[in-house]
Amino acid sequence: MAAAAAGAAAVLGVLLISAPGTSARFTSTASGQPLVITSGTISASVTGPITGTVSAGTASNGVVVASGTIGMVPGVQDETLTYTVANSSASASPANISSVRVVSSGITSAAAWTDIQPYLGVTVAINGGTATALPASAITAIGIDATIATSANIQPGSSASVVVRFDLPATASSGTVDLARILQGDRSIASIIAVAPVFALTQTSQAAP
Amino acid sequence: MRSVTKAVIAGAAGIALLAGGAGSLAFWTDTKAGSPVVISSGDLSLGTITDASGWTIQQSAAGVPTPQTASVPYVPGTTLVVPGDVLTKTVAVPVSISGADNKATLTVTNATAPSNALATQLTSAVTSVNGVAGGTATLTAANNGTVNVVFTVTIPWTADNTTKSLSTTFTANYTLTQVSAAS
Repeated sequence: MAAAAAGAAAVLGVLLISAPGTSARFTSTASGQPLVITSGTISASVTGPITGTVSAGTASNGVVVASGTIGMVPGVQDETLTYTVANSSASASPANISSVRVVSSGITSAAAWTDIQPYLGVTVAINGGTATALPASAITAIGIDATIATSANIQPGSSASVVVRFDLPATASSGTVDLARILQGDRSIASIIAVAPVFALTQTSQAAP
Repeated sequence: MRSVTKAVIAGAAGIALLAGGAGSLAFWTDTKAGSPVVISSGDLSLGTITDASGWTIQQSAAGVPTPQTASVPYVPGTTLVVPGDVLTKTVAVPVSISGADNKATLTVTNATAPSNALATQLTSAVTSVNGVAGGTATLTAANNGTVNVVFTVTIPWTADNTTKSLSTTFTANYTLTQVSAAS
């Protein structure tokens, strides 16, 4: 009994020593009002392509290109695929088309591809700016795959025009392939290889030009 | 002797003793009360803090390629933040501090909730309290009135896509604690 009483006294003593009351002094606390912070987003949309042609040169004597001819005519007419890349009006920030990856998703005509692949040139241009050529190493027997660094700032609600252009020289460098004859049946790039570009939209600073 | 008689004798003896005792304390005396001294305690308290409005936003975090040079009002629930944004607010904290030896520390902390990618990647800070960098400053009765506390909330330029379209709530907590006047 006496031991129990002593134990209880010891516990009580500890409680008294550590009691909060020993540090009592003036205090005051308050909480501020909650501030809601909501983040935005950026959202891109791509429409197209619109297929078109542009003149690549003057036809040699004896070569007649009919008006309205679609697709590529070696040395005379290039084919273009035009995409419209938009920064959604709901986006909270301007954004830059920081890169365009020109990549094929399949070869439609293996024979035609085999023939034109060594000679095909592909360029990318944004908003009518300087065209950047894909390296020759990106155009191989299995298709096309190259990423081009670009720069085109798009404000929310605005868009940019991206043109992927395909060209063939008037004469094959080997002198043994008649590209014009190969393309006689179908000059459209879509009938030879399926191209599916990927556009990277990267946030830019609000004060960016 | 009859018991009644005994009681009468005892009572008479008691009265005689009491009467004799009183007479033995008689001497000159005088008493006066001092002037009253009023003792009033001081105060140490925080008033109602209004800090949810009046914030500004400016895209000027470290790493922003072209930082903005001016801020615009931030409207909670309407303005959407993006990487690189810095929210700033100077809060006038009502402080009642009185008493000759009243000295106190004002400690300000903050927290965000709920915990999501936005809350995790942003950094919130108490920039200064009463002009002193950091989250704590010592106040005296001279600071009675309002004390400025500056907050910044930064969404770093490196915040990634996981922070898109999220909400979190920033709340500050203020604590005034008396310290010894000689501290």
